[in-house]
Amino acid sequence: MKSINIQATSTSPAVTFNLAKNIFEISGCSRPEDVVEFYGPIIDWIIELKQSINDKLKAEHANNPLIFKINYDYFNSASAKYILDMVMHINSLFKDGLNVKLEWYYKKEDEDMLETGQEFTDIVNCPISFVAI
Amino acid sequence: MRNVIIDYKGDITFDKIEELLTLFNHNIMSTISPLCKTRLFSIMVECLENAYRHNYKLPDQHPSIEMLLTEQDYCYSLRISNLIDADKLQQMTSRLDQINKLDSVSVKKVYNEAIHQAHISEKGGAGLGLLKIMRSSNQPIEYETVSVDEHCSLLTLTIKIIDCQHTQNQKKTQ
Repeated sequence: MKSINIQATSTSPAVTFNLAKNIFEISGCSRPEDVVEFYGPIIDWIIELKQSINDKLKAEHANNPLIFKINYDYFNSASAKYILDMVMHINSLFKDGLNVKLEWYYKKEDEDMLETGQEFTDIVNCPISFVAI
Repeated sequence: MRNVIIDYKGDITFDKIEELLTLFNHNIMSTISPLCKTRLFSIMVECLENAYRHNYKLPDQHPSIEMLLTEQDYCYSLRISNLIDADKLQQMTSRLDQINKLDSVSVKKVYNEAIHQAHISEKGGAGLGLLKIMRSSNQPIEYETVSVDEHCSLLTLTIKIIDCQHTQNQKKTQ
């Protein structure tokens, strides 16, 4: 699979999704002018990964989980919709048998970001860690 | 004494929102608690993006806003005005009336239900902005409307947020 490498800007987060290197990170601020254009390819990437799940990929990651690190400083309400979709698609990888973990990062003084993470992952089955930074 | 943090009247564009947020980070008082700063930033983004996306455009003029952000006794007030299509005013004020009836627990519940059903509009919003503002401020959203002509009205929103953590800290030291 092709990897995703997007540099952060003042209005959009950095994104690195690289299956070969086992790196799945999104971090920064999210209020892009066109939220569909920004998040569409990211959601599509996760869907493509889901479609490529096979026994070999499951075995490769049996003891080496795919850890999706979600580390936002801030996101607007339009981005929130897509971040929730992203979490749901990551969870669907787990439902299909891939060893997936979610890490939700938040600044220790930002109780709202922790609460949002808890709400977004309320109906998710894959293992989740909330990490204060 | 009331402190003026930002007083702006002029065009509203995506780049202008960035400029105003940079000005916010520069002008905001250092005494604000980190949580209140985060919430106030969030309120400002949602208000500016709403005004940018739903601004009624007068012929041959750029869309514009008036925005005043002030602080008095650890209470921050954001007042923002923009023209809105007369056809959309009723929808907007009904939505505000509906949201303003919610308590802090209900607003979270409604927000979480709404986000699962949200669709991104042609204008790029998810219809969650007012709920997000209410969640962040924990206060009703005050509004005023003034009819300009048969096509548009002036809508003014006033959002207040109290820096509770600062107040608590102050009390502890007394």
